[in-house]
Amino acid sequence: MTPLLLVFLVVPLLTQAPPADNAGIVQIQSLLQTGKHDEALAEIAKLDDATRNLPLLKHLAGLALYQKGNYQQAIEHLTPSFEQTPKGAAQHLQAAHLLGMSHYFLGHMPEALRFLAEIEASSLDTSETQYLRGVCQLQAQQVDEGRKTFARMFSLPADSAAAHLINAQMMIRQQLEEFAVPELEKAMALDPELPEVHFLLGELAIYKSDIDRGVELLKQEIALNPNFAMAYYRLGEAYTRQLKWDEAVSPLQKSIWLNPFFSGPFIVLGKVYLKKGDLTNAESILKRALAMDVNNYSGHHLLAQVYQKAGRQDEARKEFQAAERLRSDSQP
Amino acid sequence: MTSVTSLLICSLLTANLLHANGFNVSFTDVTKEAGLVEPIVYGGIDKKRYIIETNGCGVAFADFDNDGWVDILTLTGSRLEGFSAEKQAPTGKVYLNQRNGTFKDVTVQSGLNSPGWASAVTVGDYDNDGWTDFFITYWGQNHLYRNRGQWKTSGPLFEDVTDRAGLGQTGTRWGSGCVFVDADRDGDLDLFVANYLKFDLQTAPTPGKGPNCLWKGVPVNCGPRGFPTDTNLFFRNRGDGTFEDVSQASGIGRVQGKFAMTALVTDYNNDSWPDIYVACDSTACILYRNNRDGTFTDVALEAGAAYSEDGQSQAGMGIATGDYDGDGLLDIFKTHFADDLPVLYRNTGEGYFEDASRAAGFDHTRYVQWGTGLADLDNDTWPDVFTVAGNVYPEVEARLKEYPHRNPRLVYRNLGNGKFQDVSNQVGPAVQLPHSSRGCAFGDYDNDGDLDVLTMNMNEPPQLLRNEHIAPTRPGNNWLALQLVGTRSNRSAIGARVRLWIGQRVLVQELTSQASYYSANDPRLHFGLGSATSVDRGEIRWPNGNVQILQTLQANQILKIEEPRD
Repeated sequence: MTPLLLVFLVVPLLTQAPPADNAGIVQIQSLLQTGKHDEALAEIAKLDDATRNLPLLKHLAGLALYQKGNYQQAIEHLTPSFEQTPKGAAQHLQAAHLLGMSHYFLGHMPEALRFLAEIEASSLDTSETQYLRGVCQLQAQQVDEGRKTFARMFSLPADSAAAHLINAQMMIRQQLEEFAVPELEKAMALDPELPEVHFLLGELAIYKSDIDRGVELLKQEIALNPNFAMAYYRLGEAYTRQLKWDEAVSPLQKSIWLNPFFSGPFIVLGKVYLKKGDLTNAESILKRALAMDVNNYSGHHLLAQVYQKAGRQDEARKEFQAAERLRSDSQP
Repeated sequence: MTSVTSLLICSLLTANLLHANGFNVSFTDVTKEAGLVEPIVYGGIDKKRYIIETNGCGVAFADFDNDGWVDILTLTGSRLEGFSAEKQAPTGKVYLNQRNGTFKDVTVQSGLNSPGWASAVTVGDYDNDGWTDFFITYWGQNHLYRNRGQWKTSGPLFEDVTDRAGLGQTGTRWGSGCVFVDADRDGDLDLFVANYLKFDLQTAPTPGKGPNCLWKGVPVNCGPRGFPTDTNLFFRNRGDGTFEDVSQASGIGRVQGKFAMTALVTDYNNDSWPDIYVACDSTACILYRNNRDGTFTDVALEAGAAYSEDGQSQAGMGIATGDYDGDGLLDIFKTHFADDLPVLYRNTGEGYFEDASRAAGFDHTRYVQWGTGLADLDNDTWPDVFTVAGNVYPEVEARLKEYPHRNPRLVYRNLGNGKFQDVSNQVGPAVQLPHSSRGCAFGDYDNDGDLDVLTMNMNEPPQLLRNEHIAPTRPGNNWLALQLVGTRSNRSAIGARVRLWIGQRVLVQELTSQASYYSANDPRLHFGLGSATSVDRGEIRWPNGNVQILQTLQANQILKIEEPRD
């Protein structure tokens, strides 16, 4: 949620403040609206203790701290606002919203879920809060609740095959692969031809090192969904896990022809050519990949290996260093 | 051959390769009968609040009393809640080999008196006095123990010479891998010490309280991501029993941004100067190339030993070195976290490695893998792989059975064609018993001609697995063990490389001071010879670079070879 929107949401709260403090609060609000969090906090600090400790002022300070990314302190300031305002009131809801977000960003999933549940079905419950709430529910192993939340987010019936598919996809994103398989099996039982169910099951089989089953499932996906470039890409990649370099070429090429704007299959194809000792094609395809995805460190890393094998040590060193720079930039 | 004394341990007349199509190895758990009954304390048993409780420690096989039989050193950790006055905090333990299959606990008289969170051990004769010393890293002060050589008299067997040697430190660091290495080839052992990360119990987040504190939805101990990294240390041996900190001048301390773990001395580029490889957790590994002038440069990236073949960082834990494909070059095997595969770096001989993991038959597992060895378990000349495992999040298995806290050991047979076969369930029930293990060491504790395994198990006694490849009723394949004694080189001969030829086949090994995970193997180099009853010729490249040629060597003996003095 953007800070600007959050400030506008504060406006109705002014009516709850003592009239004498309205001018100061308007000034603080104005500062927050223009992104001047430190100045807003400085203004709040100038107030006397009693005023500063009003739930509304604590709330505004919490909002400023949230906007600064200081989530722990934001929680400390927003908690009184949440606790001392009536359930359903605008300030209460906004405090719940900000507390939920702050806890989420700090990795406090159970606490985040508690507050995000407070705003369910309110005007503050956007796609973003639904996503975060669904993630928290999945992390808490509340599989059915997660599915209902994501179904609402995607405007799907909660018991539909598509809702099970979306829930499984979100589980995979959260590294909850073990729980995704039953969801996908339910989706398949409800609709055996739903696109991407076989694909995700195939990916999960490969993740569990059952490459043969993964290949079979990806082939089934392609039979249902022959225009799906990603399935060809993953099939080619699965063949590389089996060291079937020749068999990997065709699906990777098909993936590229269906979607020439995605670097993934180019990079895997470059690796295939590298393994086959075809350094010319490996260099060419990896350069094409990097032309469209210059920040892909795997691409640079593989191109470095191509140069190394070709005895072009200076070029190899440059590519290794490029990969390392990009890797450093992308690491948390 | 000069200065060669032969100690014939056993002479086996029948030397045919048994079960040519099978893997003629089984392990028996002899822990109790060997007298290794004390648990190794390491953090909480079923819950781990902090990463400090999870990494565990190493073990060592070493001949401390010079009787020709390897003894045992086990390290230990602590508990977050500490220990009461009645129950003393545990220390490492020294077990003396009684030469009859049992060990005597001599910890009380050993002089070991440094409780705490121990990590790794490196073993070597740093003062060249003929007695094997050791260095242990800790979260906190590391310790150097000097072997006093007083094994036939009363008094402490070891003395803590940390401060006297100039290894005292200020502040709390988390020492991890460590190796004795004669980096400048001046005949004495220098010391490399890795540091894992900066950990402060007062400020460390608790389980679930941070973005790096969840694993598959389960609140778990946090890290290593999220903690600040530290730098590594290097100490030059002055030759007078003291060390000089040259971490910065040597370039060792300049490498940053790594969660460094096990270290290994290996001459990866065959230039006769020892290099240092360091497995790093969740970050690029380090390969310190010895520049032959007292400095090192990290070349892991261009040497292909930093990442997976696709350039992904892996959670490096344990390391083994050996020539898995028989090309005369030393390769590296490294263990990783769950849902990853170990890496087998094939040495190309051109100054870099290639990731041969999948080609060799390794794949993802559910296990967090730690200590490991490229050890020829069936003496068929091809080094096999033995790995111990154990999850760092005991809380997870309650929700996800696929990720058990305690795991069986993993054994892979080298098929001699560049591939390995998983034979974990074919080498006896003792290997199938689940443990949460960390370090492990390989050595022939009973001098019967096959490699046994000692493992560190979290909050359990260690496990001693006796290899039954050679048994009274079964001769097994032939073998040869070499005990090297440096005279002009460092006395422990750490860094020496031995090559043996049987017909066209060449076998190669290097003498290390740390391997596996935070552990030290039997310093005698053990070679399986298959059906060959002798080695046609051999070559020792001593740590100072001098090469000694060996003539025909008979199989099935432990040979003590002293470096020529002239």
